[in-house]
Amino acid sequence: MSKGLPVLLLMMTGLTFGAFRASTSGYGVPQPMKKPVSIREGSVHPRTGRSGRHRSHYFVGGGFHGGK
Amino acid sequence: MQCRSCGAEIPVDERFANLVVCGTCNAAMVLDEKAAAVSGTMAVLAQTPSPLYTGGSGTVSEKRFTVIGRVRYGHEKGFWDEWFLSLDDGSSAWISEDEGEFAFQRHSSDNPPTFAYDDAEVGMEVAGEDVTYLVEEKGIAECEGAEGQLPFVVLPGERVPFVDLSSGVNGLHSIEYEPDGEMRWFDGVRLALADLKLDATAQEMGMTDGLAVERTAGDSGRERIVKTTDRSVSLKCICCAGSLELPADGATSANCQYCGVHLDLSGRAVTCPNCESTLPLQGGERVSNVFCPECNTQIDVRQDVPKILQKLVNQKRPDVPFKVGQKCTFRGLELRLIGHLRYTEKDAWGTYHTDEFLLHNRDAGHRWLIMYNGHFSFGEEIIERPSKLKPQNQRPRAKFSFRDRKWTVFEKSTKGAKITYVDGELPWVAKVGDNCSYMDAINPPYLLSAEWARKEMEWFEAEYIRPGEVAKAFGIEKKDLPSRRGVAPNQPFLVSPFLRQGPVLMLLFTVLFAVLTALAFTQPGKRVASWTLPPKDYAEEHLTEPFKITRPNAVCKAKFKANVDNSWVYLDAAVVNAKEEAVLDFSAQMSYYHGTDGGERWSEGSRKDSALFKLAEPGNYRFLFVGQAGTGENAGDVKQGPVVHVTVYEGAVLARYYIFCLVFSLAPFVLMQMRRSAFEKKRWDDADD
Repeated sequence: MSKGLPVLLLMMTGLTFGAFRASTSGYGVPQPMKKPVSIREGSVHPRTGRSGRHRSHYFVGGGFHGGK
Repeated sequence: MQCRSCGAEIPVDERFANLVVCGTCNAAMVLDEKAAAVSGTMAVLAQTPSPLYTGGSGTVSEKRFTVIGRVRYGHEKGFWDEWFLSLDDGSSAWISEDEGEFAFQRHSSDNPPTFAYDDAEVGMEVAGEDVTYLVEEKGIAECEGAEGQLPFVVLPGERVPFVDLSSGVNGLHSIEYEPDGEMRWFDGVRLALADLKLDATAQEMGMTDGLAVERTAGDSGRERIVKTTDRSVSLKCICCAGSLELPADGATSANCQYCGVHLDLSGRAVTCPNCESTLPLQGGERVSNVFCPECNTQIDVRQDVPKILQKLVNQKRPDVPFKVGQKCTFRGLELRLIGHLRYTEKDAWGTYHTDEFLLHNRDAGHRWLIMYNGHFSFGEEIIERPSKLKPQNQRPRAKFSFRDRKWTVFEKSTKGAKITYVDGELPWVAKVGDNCSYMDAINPPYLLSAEWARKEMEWFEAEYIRPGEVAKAFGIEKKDLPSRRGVAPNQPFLVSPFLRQGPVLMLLFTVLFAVLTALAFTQPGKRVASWTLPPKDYAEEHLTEPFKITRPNAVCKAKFKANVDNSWVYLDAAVVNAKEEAVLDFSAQMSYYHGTDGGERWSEGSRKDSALFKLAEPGNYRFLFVGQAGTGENAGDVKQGPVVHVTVYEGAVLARYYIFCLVFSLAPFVLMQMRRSAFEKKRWDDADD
């Protein structure tokens, strides 16, 4: 057996655990905003209108979709 | 009986003997019903390094035998011995011995294939009753002498046309054509020396330890051995023609002070008929011809008086790293390089040289070291043949099995490789200008070669050896060997143990990552919410019912699906916490178009989308959606858009890292395969496919 093989095995085992950790912890996915934006002020909420609270349009003008 | 010539007592087995040769005076006597009559005189047969001898006994094919006679035949390329056996079951048989190869044959009257000598061609297939024979050799044997008892009358100089045929793996059959048109058929098999269970070998009986023994022959005898113990003869180096300074102490070897080759002086020596240089032969008693380095003349040494075979005045020694006479040790076997042949082939792309070095060991016989483009193979002639294989008909990449190996035909040359250089000693006559055809089959590191000329076919098996092993065998530096060019036909694809084992280990991890990737795609996590959004809901901002996230830092996945048909729908989405704060946002779009163009169906886009996001705190969350819908580049009435299905999962696993690892672990294996493919391409670039 090659002397480098145990090193490679160790490296690949480490890589496997690293990949498992990154995959399950959601490394790289969008995180919550540090300063969440309130949606209470402004316009009437369509579903919770009975509470009488107002909220602003969160998506001002909405996102842009170029078609297709 | 008593010899009619000298009166000596001669043992005779009357069951078989028709000719008896007196061991004392070599008178040949023909026995008939009336009396024995002296018919001539036989030559004294020079002893060869054979383990057999007249009077010897042993067991072959589970039969006890006694050797009662021998006849030696010469042919164009050399000579061979036929040993006549009396078997204990009352029958008789023959063992033929040619250049250290043996065959056990018996005279047979079983329906042999019938064809005229002139119709036989090497490589020709001959159909038998239930077997196919292949003509391996044809020639005219000339009796050079005999001893003991023989079942037929044969005298020196008598010529017998013969054809040898092979069948199966080791079948060997011979036809001898008599002057009266009769054919004698001999059936048999090739044998290894180990198959001859001799009670005692000639060497053990002290019968052939005679290379330094001075033998004298009477006027009637022919002496092959030139005495070598006479130190008054001035010997020349077989390699460089330098005069040898002979040690005074009677040692049987000497170093050439000019080229440094260490020469064995215990064998016979021959005198060049052209320049009268005396050369000590290194290849034992089987040497058929030798090259005189003093005058560039090839000498036939098969006869009493050496004859000039050809003068090669302009022959220049190729630049090769070895010298004739040089000693080497391959795999524990001590050998001496005794001969060198160079074969040259030309085609439209260039000229190719193959150097073949003949190595010799007195006990083990001959071996070959083949050098091509700086690559080396070490091998020997073999006695078995691939059954039902006609090398002349093979095409490159054809497959066959032989000796428990699967072979692939690499190359076949019927144009012939021409001998362009000869040096040293050879056990058969090979002259500059001779052609031979060949077929090479490979199973790296092994090479199987069939070589045939007009009258003979021979098979060789060799193994690729690395330059380091060759350098070590000759005791020279590796840098003194020519550098390797290209890939040799039988060169194995060799990499370091790490590069060989590493990709295999990585491949195991590839399998693991493939499984994890598949799980990541098929197991999105725990479903925590699902909504069906009609277009009126997402036409304006729409807040969903709450869903519960149970773990901190939960990785979530939102899957979107809409039945768009040549249209699109686009959603802005925000995740809202219990305090009605948007903690993150993203978008999703489903766009699917399809149709037929020029009779071919096409489609693009997808009716699905997904998004991953992470929520730091457990708790209740809701989604805020607003969307657009349309066709092509135009946004239409969103209220005419499709229903969108949204499903949210907690505990999603990201596939991207497993995919990265999968590619990473697969890469070495793929790279190694690419390297192997490039290696194989290089190997086959030279083949004539």
